[in-house]
Amino acid sequence: MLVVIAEIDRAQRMRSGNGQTMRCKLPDGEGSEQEIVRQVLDQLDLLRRLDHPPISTTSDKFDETVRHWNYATGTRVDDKPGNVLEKYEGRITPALMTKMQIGLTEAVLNSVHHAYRAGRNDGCDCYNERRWWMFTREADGMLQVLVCDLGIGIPRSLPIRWDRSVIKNLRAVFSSDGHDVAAIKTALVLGESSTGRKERGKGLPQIWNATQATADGTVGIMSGKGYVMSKSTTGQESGTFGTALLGTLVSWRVPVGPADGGSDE
Amino acid sequence: MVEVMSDMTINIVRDFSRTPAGRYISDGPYSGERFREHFLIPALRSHRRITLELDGTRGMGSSFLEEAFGGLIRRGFSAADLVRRMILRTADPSLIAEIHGYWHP
Repeated sequence: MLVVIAEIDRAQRMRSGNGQTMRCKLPDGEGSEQEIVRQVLDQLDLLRRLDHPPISTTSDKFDETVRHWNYATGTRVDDKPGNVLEKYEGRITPALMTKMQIGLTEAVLNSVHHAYRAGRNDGCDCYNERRWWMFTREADGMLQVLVCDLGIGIPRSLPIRWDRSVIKNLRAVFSSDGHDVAAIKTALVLGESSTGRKERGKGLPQIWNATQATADGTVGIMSGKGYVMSKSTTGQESGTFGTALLGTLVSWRVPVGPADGGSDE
Repeated sequence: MVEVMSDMTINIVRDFSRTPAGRYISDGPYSGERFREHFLIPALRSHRRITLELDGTRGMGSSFLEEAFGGLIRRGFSAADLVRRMILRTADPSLIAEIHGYWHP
């Protein structure tokens, strides 16, 4: 969903001033699924931005699964990523809060510094804005945070950032994985080896290690056709999708304590 | 005049930000470049020894740390001079190791 919103947002920014318009047709029907889709689009301010009238349900009556979604976008680190976590202070353990803060800001910086180093090859005119998008959602005692960019993706950025022979050798280690999965795993190893300290890898490993401080966390990276996910409880899994995500999406899911104070860890 | 030889303490939370993040000034208001240029370098140029209190932030990513501290080497300070004159105070030993790693790559 975040990537869809990001693509629409990007397209809107690209079309600004060129006379093109975007229209929105909401799903018909009275079912709860259709209603939730309508509420999500309204909650994320997408209807207003597409000049669509708001839905009849008022936001305070939105479904519980929709009401706690928050959205942010930007082109700098500034205070937004930190503000996302601020409201959870006291409900997330200090160690996890620190790792999440670092992971979030490094994910945003990765987007700003590395994701837009070349054309996106998406058939659109060149558009050079280095933007990130973020979703947060709290449900069932878990905080979910997603950050994405619409850049060139990890498989394409690796050869730009690192020596090709190093990448070739490392990819051989992950030869049983698909091309894009191997690229993500290679990027994780390269970041870690760049400091020589497992606890303080650069960039991507700091994103990846954000959930280490919890017994019930999940972190995932999707880029190109590949995804790699690590769950505190079940370990790492990876796979390949049929179509490519033109960009990179990072997601975390971590436990939060009850809103009336105290962490659940 | 005596100040050139005096010691100085910088508390990153009190004097800079609780949410330091980013590499370059263009990344945001509390970047490593800004911390280096506006705090660390002026302090190093005007004081004999600097005590840097690093605890209390929400966390400092490698981008911030490399630019703030590794950038001192690129700006002409020697690793030996930095180790001798900059005292790092933190409860996190890995933070000190990382910063020293940027001085001795």
